Amino acid sequence: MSRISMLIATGMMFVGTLAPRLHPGHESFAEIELNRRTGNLQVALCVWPEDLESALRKFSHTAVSLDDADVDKTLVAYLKKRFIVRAEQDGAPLGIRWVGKELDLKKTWLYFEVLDAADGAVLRLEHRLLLGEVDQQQNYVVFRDGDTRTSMLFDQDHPIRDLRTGQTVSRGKGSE
Amino acid sequence: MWFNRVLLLLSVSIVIGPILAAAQTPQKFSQVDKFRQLEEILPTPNDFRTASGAPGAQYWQQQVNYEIDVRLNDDDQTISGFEKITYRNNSPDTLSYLWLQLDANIHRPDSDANLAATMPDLEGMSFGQLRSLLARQSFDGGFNITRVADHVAQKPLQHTIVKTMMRVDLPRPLPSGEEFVFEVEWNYAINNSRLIRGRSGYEHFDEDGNNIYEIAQWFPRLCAYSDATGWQHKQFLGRGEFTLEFGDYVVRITVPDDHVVAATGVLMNENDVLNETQRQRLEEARKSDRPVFIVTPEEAKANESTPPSGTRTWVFKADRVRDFAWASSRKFIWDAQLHRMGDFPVMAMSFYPNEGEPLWSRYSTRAIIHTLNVYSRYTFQYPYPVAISVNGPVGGMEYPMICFNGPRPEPDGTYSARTKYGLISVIIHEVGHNFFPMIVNSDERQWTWMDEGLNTFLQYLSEQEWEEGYPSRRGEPQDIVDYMRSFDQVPIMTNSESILQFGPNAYHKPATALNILRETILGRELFDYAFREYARRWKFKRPMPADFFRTMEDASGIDLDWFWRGWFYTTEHVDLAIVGVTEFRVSSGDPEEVKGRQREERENQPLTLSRERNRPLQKFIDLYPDLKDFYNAYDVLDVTDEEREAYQRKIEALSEEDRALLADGHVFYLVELENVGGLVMPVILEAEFDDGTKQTFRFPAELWNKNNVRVKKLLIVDRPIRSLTLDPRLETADCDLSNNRYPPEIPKSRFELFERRQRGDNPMQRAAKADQPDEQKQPEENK
Repeated sequence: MSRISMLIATGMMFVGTLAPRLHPGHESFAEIELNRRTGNLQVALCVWPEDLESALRKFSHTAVSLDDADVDKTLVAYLKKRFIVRAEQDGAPLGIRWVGKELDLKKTWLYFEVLDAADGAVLRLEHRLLLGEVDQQQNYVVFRDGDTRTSMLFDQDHPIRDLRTGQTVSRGKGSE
Repeated sequence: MWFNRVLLLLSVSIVIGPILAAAQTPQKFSQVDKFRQLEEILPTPNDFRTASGAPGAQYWQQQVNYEIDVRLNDDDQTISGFEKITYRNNSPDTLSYLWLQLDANIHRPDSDANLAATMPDLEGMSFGQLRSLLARQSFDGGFNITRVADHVAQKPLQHTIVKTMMRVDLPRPLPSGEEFVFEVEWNYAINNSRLIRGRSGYEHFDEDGNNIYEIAQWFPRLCAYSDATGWQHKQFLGRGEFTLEFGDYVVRITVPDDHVVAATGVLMNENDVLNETQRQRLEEARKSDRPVFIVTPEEAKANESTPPSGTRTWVFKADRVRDFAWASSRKFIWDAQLHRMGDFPVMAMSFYPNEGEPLWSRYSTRAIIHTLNVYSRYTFQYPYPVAISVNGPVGGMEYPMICFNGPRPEPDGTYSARTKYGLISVIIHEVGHNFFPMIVNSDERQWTWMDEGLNTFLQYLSEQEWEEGYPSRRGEPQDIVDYMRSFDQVPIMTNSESILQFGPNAYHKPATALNILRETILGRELFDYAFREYARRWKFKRPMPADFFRTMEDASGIDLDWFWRGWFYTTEHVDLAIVGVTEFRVSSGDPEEVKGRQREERENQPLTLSRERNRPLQKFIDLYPDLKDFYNAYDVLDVTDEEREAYQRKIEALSEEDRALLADGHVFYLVELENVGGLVMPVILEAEFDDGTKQTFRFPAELWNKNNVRVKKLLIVDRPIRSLTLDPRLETADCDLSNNRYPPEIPKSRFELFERRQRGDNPMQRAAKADQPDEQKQPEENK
């Protein structure tokens, strides 16, 4: 899909325009763990297959199917655009090592590593998976570093959040 | 009688987990009471709604009947309508004004829905999203109300439009038990769903120049007025759908004369709008055991290229419905099959373009029938004469007797399994909404879960009855754990517009909660009885959350306040853990046995570093043996004759029964459990014995009612346990299984498990991979 980068001049305001909510159901879930031994982020990302397939089609302008033998190439290219981790706010995107995927009718799990992520105390995750292609998409992430665990939500309004390594504080239990 | 106290001592052979870090020293008692009754939260019962959860003796609801004439203009995609509304005031109150909903006003550029939307992500915006953004700035799809008048006097009525609501001031107060009849005229532009998506709209097909219209929330509709909320006129912001009054409808829909119309209700003028062939096919459909084409794919295709010669008016009648929706297009294929629910006939029908084939003719009408069968079994018999599924621009939305469903196959007619099951699931879901909330008329604008949650639960049951292993997304407890342990969430009992993570919160979590309630807490028989009772009590009535909670308790006979409190009023999750297991055996008190065990424990004590290093040192008493006395040879663990005799006397004093108890070899395990997640749940423990056999122990959630953080439970078995597993069949949505095992297992992340499986390839698999493209063969490095 064609994208418009840096569309808006500074100070320009839009009135918000979320599409009316139909019956929802577009969500992904990712477990991200910082492997202190390798220094890489290990990512297991679960997404609904038809959403991913639809996004890949729009992204590649071809009739991609997740069942295609060579779909991983498109997947990796897509991930590089939609799942970006930086060690510094404006730093270069960290590299991705593709590990593999599991596909069934209910879910697709994507497995990959983000390389050399242990250096920064704060990693900036830009998680736009499906946000440009699927209405009402919401991406949930649980980030683990050692014993600490943080969860966060990425959506059209908040596609970028920080992963705090080391000093990450686990948030408390839910409340009434 | 020390032998009567069985748990004498005994050997503590196994202890796992940390010792309680700090004993709980509460200020009197520091825990929140998870079993506190809900009475203080739920509304006080009254004559309208009883404490049992049933409608009270004085229950009332308004009645609103509509007679509507509407015209669809296919040239400029607008509709214009006239309605005569008969409002019967069944409330005990005198009303001086009426409120109507104007949902299409959400499409005004200055609507609250648009103004309240927060900043979109501009950087990642696609051109399609930008077009939509700009369209919303310019498109005005709101109602133009051109006339509001007293029907009898034919005089204008004072009315005030408040965003998506309109107040009509009555010429004189309307007393209880009386009717007021008035008329409204309006028109509006229909939204192009490609630019502005919604629950209603039109889809334009560039290839043939035709449109499919799915028209809903399209006429000024009376707001609900009830004992629980008064006027329900919360503004329409997009998520909270609606709640309306039941009434009878006659609707005359004028469309181009080559259009086929599907609508809520029964078609009253077949002879005027259908040709003879179509009427004959309808007769066939009334006798067939499979869907019959009323309009064939070939006829629909031909219809796409011939212009209309005029207009035609389709007349529909629907009784006892809370709303009315319809669809119209010259592209529609139409199939139908009469399905008998007992003696009651229901015409199941589907309308779809050729773009939906072959998927739609194969599955849509059949899925409708399956849904009616399963839902009727768990609630009440479907009471309407038709049930319709339409394919068009709306992905999934429900109205009485009719619903809109989006999935289509590929342009070449092939489809993936995911598309097939996606279509079946959405049809089950949307047809299922006939029961909740179209008949059990809950307030969607306030409580999304009351229809979506209950409906998703029944959707799961229906899917599982479609075929073995149906890939249901929502219902199984383990599928909700990712959401349950996430942090950006609010309780289910949250107003529809304030919900975070809308789908998981209002659909998935309540559906899973009900499935757990059914399978693990109440059992199928009790649950099904209570759930059916709720549906029957509130059929064609307006329940509130308390009515559901109370009925489920009232009919099941089980106090469920802890369950509603935990699952519906908090964001806690389930994470129970085994933190310690201690084994006890009954001791006979035989000094040989007792001291022998103590000696063994002493010998098993670790040799300290200093003792080991001191061993070779020359000892002073070895140089001077005369220093050794009685104590150098005495061992406190040696059994004396006095001890042996004392034991013998005590054994002889025991009854035969007590002696048998001593000899039966029972083993006692004290299992210490911690509630890490906060949500109390039943404890299900599976013990595996040394011989490989297993035994399951089930304890109710009330186990936690005095201490909801830590409890100890005693398992009595006749042979040693090798391992214990909490929730072995994944019944409770336990979010962390790593602490569910004794002995504990080091947890592996999903990533590690996958990588390990990858590494575990056998040579044949590796050879096969060598033939794969590079992207799959080699990990990608991207710096």
